[in-house]
Amino acid sequence: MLRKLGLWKLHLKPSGVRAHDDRTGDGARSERGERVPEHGVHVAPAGAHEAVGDGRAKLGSRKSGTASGEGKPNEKAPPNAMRSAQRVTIARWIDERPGFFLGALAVPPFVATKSSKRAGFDRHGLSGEQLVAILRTMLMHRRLEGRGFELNRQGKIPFASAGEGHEAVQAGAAMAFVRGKDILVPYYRDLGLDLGVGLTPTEVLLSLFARAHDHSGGRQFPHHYASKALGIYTISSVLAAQLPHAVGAAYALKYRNQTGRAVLTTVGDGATSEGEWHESMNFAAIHRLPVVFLCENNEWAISTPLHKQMANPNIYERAAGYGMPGVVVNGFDPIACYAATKEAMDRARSGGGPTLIEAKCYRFLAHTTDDDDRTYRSRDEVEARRKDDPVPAFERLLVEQGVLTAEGLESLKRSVLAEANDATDRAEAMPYPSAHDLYEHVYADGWQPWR
Amino acid sequence: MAKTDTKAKSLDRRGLSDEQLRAIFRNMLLQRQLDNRGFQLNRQGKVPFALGSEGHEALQAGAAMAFERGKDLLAPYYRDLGLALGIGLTPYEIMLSIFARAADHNGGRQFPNHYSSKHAGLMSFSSILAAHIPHAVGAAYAIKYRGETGRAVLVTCGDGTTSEGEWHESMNFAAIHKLPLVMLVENNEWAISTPLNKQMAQPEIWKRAAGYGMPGRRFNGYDPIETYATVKEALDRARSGGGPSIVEGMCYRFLAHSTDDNDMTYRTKEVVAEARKNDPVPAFEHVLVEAGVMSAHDVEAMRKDVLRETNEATDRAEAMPYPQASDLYTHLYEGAWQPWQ
Amino acid sequence: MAVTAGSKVLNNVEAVRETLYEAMKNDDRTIILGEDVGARGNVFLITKDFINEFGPQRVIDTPIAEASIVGIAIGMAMEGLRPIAEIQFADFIYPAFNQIVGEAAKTRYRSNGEYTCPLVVRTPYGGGVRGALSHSVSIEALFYHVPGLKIVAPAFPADIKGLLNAAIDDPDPVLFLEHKKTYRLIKGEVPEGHYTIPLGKANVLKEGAQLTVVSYGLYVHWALEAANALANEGTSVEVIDLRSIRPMDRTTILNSVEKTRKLLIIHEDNKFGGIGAEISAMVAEEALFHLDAPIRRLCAPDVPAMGYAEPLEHEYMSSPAKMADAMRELVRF
Repeated sequence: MLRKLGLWKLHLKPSGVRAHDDRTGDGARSERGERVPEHGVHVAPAGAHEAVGDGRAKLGSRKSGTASGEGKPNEKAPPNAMRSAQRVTIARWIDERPGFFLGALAVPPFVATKSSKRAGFDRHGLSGEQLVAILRTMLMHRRLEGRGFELNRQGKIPFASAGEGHEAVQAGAAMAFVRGKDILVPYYRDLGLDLGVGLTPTEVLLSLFARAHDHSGGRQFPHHYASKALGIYTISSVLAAQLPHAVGAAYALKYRNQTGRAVLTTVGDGATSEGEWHESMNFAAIHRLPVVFLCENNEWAISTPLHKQMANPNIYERAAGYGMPGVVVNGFDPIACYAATKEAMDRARSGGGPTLIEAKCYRFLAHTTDDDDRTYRSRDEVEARRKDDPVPAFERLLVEQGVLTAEGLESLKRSVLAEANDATDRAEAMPYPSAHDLYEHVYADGWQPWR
Repeated sequence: MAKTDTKAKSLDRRGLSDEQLRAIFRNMLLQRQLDNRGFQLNRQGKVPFALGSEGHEALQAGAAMAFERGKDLLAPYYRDLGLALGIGLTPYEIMLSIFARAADHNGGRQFPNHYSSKHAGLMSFSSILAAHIPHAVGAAYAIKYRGETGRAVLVTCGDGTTSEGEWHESMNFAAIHKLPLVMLVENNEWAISTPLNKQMAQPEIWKRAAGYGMPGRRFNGYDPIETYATVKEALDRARSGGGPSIVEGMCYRFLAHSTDDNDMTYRTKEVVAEARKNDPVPAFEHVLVEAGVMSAHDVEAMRKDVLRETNEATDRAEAMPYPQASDLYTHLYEGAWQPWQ
Repeated sequence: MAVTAGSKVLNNVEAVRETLYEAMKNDDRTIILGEDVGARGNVFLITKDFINEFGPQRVIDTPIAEASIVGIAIGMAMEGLRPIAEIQFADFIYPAFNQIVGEAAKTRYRSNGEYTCPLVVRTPYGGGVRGALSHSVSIEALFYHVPGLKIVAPAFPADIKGLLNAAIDDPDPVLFLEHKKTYRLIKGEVPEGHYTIPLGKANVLKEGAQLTVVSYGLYVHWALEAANALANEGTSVEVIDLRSIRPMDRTTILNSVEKTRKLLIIHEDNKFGGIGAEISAMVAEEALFHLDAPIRRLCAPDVPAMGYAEPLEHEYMSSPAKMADAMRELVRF
C-alpha cells in the first residue's frame, strides 16, 4: 500500500513526552509504546516491527539549520582581517550549501514490499526521511572516522580517533536537537552528534588536516569541533571541563527566559568520575536548568574498564541522588536514543529541569591512533561485542521495514563515500595556517603579550 | 558515685556500659566548655579567632566512642572538636592550638581547631573543604594494601563539603576499591550562610551512596547512642573488609560559622531558637538522669570537673611561649636545603 | 581630608561594593556567583542586600564547588552573560585552576575567536590578618605566567573602581585581586560616576630621583610610608604602584629606572618566581646600562605560608621599617 508520508521537514515540533504520535500514520502501533518514565529504569527495546507504508523520501532537504546570522565569529576586526573574513565566508558557504555536498543523489525509489502488518517497530514518530537521515549520519560518522584512520596510516595526518560503536546514540540524539535553538557541548568522541546537528564533512576534514580554514584555525586537536553558527561549543581535551560550561550556558538560557531552548552535553563513562561532573549535576539540579547530560557509556576509558571506574555500573542511578530524573537506554538503538533524548530535551525546553541519560554502548576500536587496545583487552571480547554493531543492524532494520530498499541503501552508501571523498580532496587542498596565525586571537584588543 | 546498674529498661544503650555513657556525656560537656572558652578568649582580645561546634556534641561524642584508639584513623574537619577529644586529644592540646603556642602539634602554624596528632591517629588537614577526603581514601587504601584488617578510617565533613568535586571523586574511589572507610557527614544544615536547599536539590545526602555502589544511612545526630550504634556498624563493616559506607547524622549549627561571622545577616533568631530546642547536651543529661546512670549531683560534679580541667588547660597553655621567628623556617623539607638561602 | 567636588571618600571594600552595585544596575547580563554572596552578602559584606534588590537569579549562592564556580561562569560568559565569579579566599582557588588556566585563558584562542570568555574572577588575597596558611596567600605568580589571562591588584579605592569597571568591560578573562587587609584600612577619594582605568597602566605615587620602588597591594602603602620617612631624611625615592600585574606597565618602570638608576621591588608573595623575578629579568634585559646597582627584591621568604602564630606572621611579612632599611641600603650602594 502506497502511502505518502506527510512531513518532509526535519525539524521536530516538541510533542511532549509521548512515545509516538499520529504521524506514524495508518494506525499500527507498537505494543511496546511505553514512555520513558521520569525516574528509574527503562531499557528501550530494539525496534519491534510495525507495518509502515511508504512513499518517496526526498533526501536533499537536509538543511544545515541555523541562520548563521549570529554575527561573525570575531567580535572585533582581528589583525589579519582579510584572512579571517575569508574564513568566515567559506564557513558560511559550507553552511548554506549542504545540498551541494549531498551531491546529485539519486532519490532512491521506495517500493512497497511485503508491507502487510507484521509486528511493527516503534519509530517514535520519526518519518521515513528522518530514519534515513539518521542512518546517513551513522554511515557518514563511520566513514569519516575511518577516513581519519586511513589518512593517519598513510602518514598524511598525525592523529585520528574514532567512536565506532557510538553511531546510533549520536545520530539518534542529534535528531532530537533543534537547530538554531539548542546548544551542544560535546566531548571529543562526538563526531556523529556534530554531523547530526549540521557539521559538514568538509569541516570535519579541515579539522583532521588542521587547515587554516578549520573553525579553530588548525589549533585544536582533531574532533574538537566548534561552530558558533550551529551552536556547538568550543571544548578542550580535559574530561568533564565542558560540563560546568554547559551548565552555565543553560543558566543563561533560563535567566533570559528563553523557553524552547536547551543544552545537550555529553560525556563518556570515565568522565563521570570527575569532580566537575558531580558539581555540574548538582548545580543543574538545584536550579532546574534546561540541560540534558547524555552519558555515552562505552565501557572503556582508554584502558580502564568500567569496573575500575566505578563500583556501581549503572551511572543513571546516580541521578536520584542529585534530585533529577535518570534514564537508561540501549545505546545501539538509534530510535530509542532519539526518543529518550527528545523526551529529556523537551522537558528541559519547557522548564522541567535537567535529566541524566545513560546510553549503554561499546567502544569497538582503540582510544585513538596512538592507542593499542590489544595491550589491555582481548580480541575475543571485542569480537563478541561486534555483534551489537549498530550500523549494520540499523541498515537491516530499515530495509526489512521497507523504509529503504536494498538498492536505496547501496545508493546511500555510495553517496556518503562520494561526499567523504569530495570533502577529503577539498580539505586536503586547502592551506595550513601560517606561522603568523599563532599570534592571533589571544586577546580581543590585539594586545600582544609577547611584545 | 554512680550506680553500676541502671533501673531504666527503656534506655536502649546499644551495648554501652554506664561508664561509656558517662564518658560520652563528659565529652559533650567538655566540647561545649572548650568551645565557649575559645569564644570568651576571643571576646577578651586574647585570641584572634575561634570556631564553635554547638549542636554537634552528641554526634561527635557518639562517633568517637566507636573509634578504636591505636588502630583507627580520623580524618576530621575543622568543626570536630568533640571528635578530637573523643579519640584522646586533651584540653591542653586544644588550648595550645587556640593560643598558637610553640608546643602546639602544629607549632602554632595552623588556624585553631586544625588539630593533628600522629599519636592519636588524627590526620593533619587544611581549611580547604573536601581536600582531606582524598587523603582519607589514600590512607584507607594503604591500610587495605598492607592487609591490616581491624583498622579503618573515619572521615568527616559537613553538608556543604559534599558539593565539592573531591568529595565525589573520593567516594567513587573508595567504593571501587572497597576501602575500609566510613564517610560521616555531619549535616548541620548550614554552610556559612548557605542553607541546605541552596546546596543541593535532593536533601538526603546518604541517598547518594547507592549511586556509588555502597551502603548509606541516615541517623539522628542529636542522639549519641544511635550515633554510636550507626558509626560502629559502619566501622565494623569497614574493618572486616566489607567496604565503605556513608552515614549522615542530622544536627544543627546553633552558632554562627565562627567569630568572624554574624549569622543574623542570613537567618533569624527565631529559627535558631527553634532548633535550640533539640540541644543535645541538656537532652542527654535528661536521658542519663532519667535512666539512673547519673544523678543530678553527679552531673553537677562532672560539670565542675570539666570547668576545672578547662581552666587548668587554659592557664597552662596560655603560659607557654609562642614560637620564635626562627621557627618559620623549620620543617619545610627533610634535610638541610633552605630555599630562601 | 578635604573632598574634591564630584567625589567621595570610600574605603577599599566600599569601592568594590559600589562598583559591583553599579554594574548590576546598569547591565542585567551581569551575574554575581560565589559562596555566601547572596543571603550573607559576602563574608566581608561586599554584596550585602544585593540579593534583595537584584534577586537570587542574579546573585547566586553556589554550593561549595570552586571548580564549577569558575567553570559555570565560563559557560555563562560563552553564552552571552557577564558573570563575576567570586572565590571566597584566594587560597581556595586551586580547584578552579584548570578552569582558569586551561579553559578561560584558552577559549578565544582555541576557537579562533568564535567563542570568547568575558569573565571576572574576584578574590580577596594577602595576609596580615592572622589568616594562617589558608586565608593569607598571594596567588598572582601562579597565574600571571599564563597568556590569555589578565590580572590586576589595585590598592586604592579610586583604582579599584576604575579597574573593576575595566575588568567587567573587558572581553577577556580578568583575575581581580583584592588585598583583604586593605579592605577597611585604606580610604581615599573616589570620583562619582562611571569611569574606567585601562589595564596595563601603573601609577607613580611619589616622584623621586635616587631610587625606584615598585610594589602593589598592601605593601605599596607601606612602601609609600617608608619612602616618606626617607624624604624626611633627605632621600628621594620614587614609588610606583604596579596596579596591573598582567599586562604589566614596562614603560613606566623602565622610564623610572632610567631616571633613578636603582630598582627595589617589594612584594608580599614568596621571592622565588614571584612578580619581582619577571620585573628584574625585564629590566636587566632592557636597561642594564642604566643601572648603578644590582636590582633588589624584598619579598617573603620561600616558605609555604605565614603561620597563624603572631611571631610567624611577623617574620613572614615585611613592614614599613624593614622596607625603609632596604631602601636606605640600596640608595647607599
